[in-house]
Amino acid sequence: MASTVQQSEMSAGEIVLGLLIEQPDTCYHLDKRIAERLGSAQFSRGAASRAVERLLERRFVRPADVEEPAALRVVGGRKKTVYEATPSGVDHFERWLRASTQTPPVREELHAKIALWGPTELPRLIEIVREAELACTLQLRDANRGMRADRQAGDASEWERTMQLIVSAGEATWWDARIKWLQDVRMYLEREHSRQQVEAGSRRTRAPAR
Amino acid sequence: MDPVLSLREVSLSFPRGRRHVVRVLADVSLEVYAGESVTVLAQRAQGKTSLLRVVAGMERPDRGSVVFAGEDLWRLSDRRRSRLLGSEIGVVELAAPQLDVPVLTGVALPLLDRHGRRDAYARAKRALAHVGASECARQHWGALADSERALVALAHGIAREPRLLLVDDLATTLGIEERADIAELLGALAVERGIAVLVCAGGSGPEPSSDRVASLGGGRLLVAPPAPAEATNVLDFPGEHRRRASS
Repeated sequence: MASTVQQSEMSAGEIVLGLLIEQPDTCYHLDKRIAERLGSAQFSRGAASRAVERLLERRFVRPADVEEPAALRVVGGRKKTVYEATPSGVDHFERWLRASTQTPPVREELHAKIALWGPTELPRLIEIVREAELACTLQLRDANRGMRADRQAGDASEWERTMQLIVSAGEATWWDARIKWLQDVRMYLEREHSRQQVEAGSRRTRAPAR
Repeated sequence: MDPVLSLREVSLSFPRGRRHVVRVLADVSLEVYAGESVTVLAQRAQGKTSLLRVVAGMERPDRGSVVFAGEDLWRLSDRRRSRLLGSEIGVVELAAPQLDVPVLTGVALPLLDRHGRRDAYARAKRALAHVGASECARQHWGALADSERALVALAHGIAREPRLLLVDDLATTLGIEERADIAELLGALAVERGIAVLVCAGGSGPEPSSDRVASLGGGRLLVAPPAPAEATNVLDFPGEHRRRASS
């Protein structure tokens, strides 16, 4: 979903910054921590290193004066830089955390298609909506799996588990609402389609009623 | 492995007056295997309960077949079908019991005709313990919180050790955490006891339990194939399609 990706790019910097405040880390390991904390596939691999680059430019993070912990080192891999937050980075993060959150605009491919579609190719549009509906059921299933995994994560603290549950429940609710909207759209289009067919049929076979 | 439940092109509609019919299910096909849980998402009045009634053998579809454990439900005698419903097919719904008795008695009562009194109560106790509702055993339905009612309803459903468990909108009124508890229980029931679980959900929020999620609307059930490719980008542009169609 284009809107989700855009959203996540927007706050990737702050998320990485927050994780570095918790604990200095390498980009490689940051990617893993993002996945753990934010559940399924919101970020692509390498998102952390892109975010770190931008944070470096703004002097919110800097290379830390420590070695990469031996336990995390990939065997045979080259040494990786450990980054930490700067005081101005901590400042920025705390301001971001306390600022109120924007409501995202819904601007997404399927909306555009429905808005631009003519009435003549209803069957194809119905097909597209069905495909989107199916795709969303898969996304919901994955979000549900993430939710189950979060609850079974044995080493997490009560607070961490609760926060993770809330995050993945938010994701699942989003897909759930999406499916409901698509069901509505599809039912409406299918009704419209059969109405068109009935009309076409009656024009051919009989004179108007009464 | 054969599915525990198999619906093949099941259709159901109800007449409204002489000229109209309300189409509730249109060519619905679905298979549910032992050890998996499947959630059907549908909004209000979109055939959730009808689907469950058809699956349970309570409602006869106009067309199509309902096969439970290899047997076509509507080729069985009424007697055999109604016995299945009491034993191998369990139904879980949030409805107040007709008798105002303590929870434990309520769960044990339907077991009395097949098991002795002691055995029935022992089974009822085990079922309540399994869902974590032992504390409710002496309470009456009216004194229970929604989350406790959901657990007790679940205990009712599993007390007879069914092979197929049908769950109707159990968690609608619950909060995130309670829903997650119920979901985890249902998932565990499927995996640990090898039960085939079919959940119909609607109303508010996701039902976070299932191996598979299907969507029911306008009578049609959309089911992703069991081993799905990670297909999220399945849309193409209308313009492209028009070009292809005209060439």
